[in-house]
Amino acid sequence: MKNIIMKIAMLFIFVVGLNSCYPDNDISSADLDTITTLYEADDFVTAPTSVTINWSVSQLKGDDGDDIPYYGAIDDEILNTTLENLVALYGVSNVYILSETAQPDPVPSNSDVVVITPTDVPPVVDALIASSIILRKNTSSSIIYPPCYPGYWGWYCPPPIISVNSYSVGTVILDMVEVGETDASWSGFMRGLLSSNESSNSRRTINTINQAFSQSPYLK
Amino acid sequence: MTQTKKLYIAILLLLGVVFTGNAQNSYWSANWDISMGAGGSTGDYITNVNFRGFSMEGRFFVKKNITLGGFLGWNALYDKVSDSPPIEIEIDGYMGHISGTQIRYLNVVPMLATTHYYFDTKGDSKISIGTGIGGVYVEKRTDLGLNSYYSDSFAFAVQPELGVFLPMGYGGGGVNLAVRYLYGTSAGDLESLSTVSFAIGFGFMN
Repeated sequence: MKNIIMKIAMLFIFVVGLNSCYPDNDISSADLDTITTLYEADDFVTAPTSVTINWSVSQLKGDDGDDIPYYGAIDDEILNTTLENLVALYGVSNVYILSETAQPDPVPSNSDVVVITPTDVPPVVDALIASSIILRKNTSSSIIYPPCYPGYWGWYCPPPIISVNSYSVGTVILDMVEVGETDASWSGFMRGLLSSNESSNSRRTINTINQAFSQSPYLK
Repeated sequence: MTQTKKLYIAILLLLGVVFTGNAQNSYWSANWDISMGAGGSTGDYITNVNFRGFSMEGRFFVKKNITLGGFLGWNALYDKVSDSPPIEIEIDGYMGHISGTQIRYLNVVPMLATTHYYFDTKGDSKISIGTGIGGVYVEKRTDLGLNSYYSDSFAFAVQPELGVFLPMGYGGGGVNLAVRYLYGTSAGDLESLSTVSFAIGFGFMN
């Protein structure tokens, strides 16, 4: 009888022990979001004091039928959250919106920010900030040629993304480029923001972009 | 008499002392362990109380109130931290930071030689204090997004313990309760380990 009790006890403890490995069942998609910010230290010896935000989100596609569908669902959150952070950093009088039309779409959350179009006389600013979103799915091999950003002092063409390990579909990218430069001096990567839950996507976009600026105090 | 025979006789004498010296020869227990970090780097890394662990132990009476034995345990400590500060990184000459929810794991496997002292009590319950000395294997893993940062070590460990055995029935079985503090020295890439465990399980006194 004692041996039977002993075996039952050991079995019970063993089952409990097996359950000890990795409790992964309370991890949500938001828990997998990461915010990576990179900067060229030499470019921020003197931080920019004024900036123009390009008022569109470039869609980084492969154009080979292997892109996820995207119809601008989080463009508003990307642009307006970035705008609010830029206004907080540099002041409303030192931030400009570069829009293709005089009526920007989506509507800027701060109506005091000056809107300019490519035909206007460009203001003198230190940097341009542009946003993009990766829509191409990971495949065994791929090369993405991101579109060039429209600029009134020239065009900024990001380098092609070659390694499939270097991005995740749905990643939102912010690039800050100093005027006259071709490489980004600051970049923020908000990984994996597109899920089937649109309200979650919106909330996570706002939170992660705010975090990107929060963890980059050298921008000011 | 050859050296081998002398050694053989010595071992027999030692086993004789261990196994036949008292009416109570041995004590065995298997336990469910509830663990938490107890300050220091472990307490900073894991703040949760964790309910995933077990331990097994055998003790042999070498005197009326003193045992020698062995202890083997496994505690899985887990925490999810959403507000940890960004981690500094450097990629291709660019400086930067990465942040996100950190999923933290510590798997702790102590393997100890133990000794205990049993107090004389009027009732059937048996209260003991003791300590274990040996090694502890620690596996540390931090998940950030889809990336995992992993390290492990095997360190020297000591584990004081206060326990009580509550006999139930006449078969020698009963309930084992214990509170333990485990300390492991820093080793490899890992800092020192410090945990407190509460154990409840089955004990058998032979």
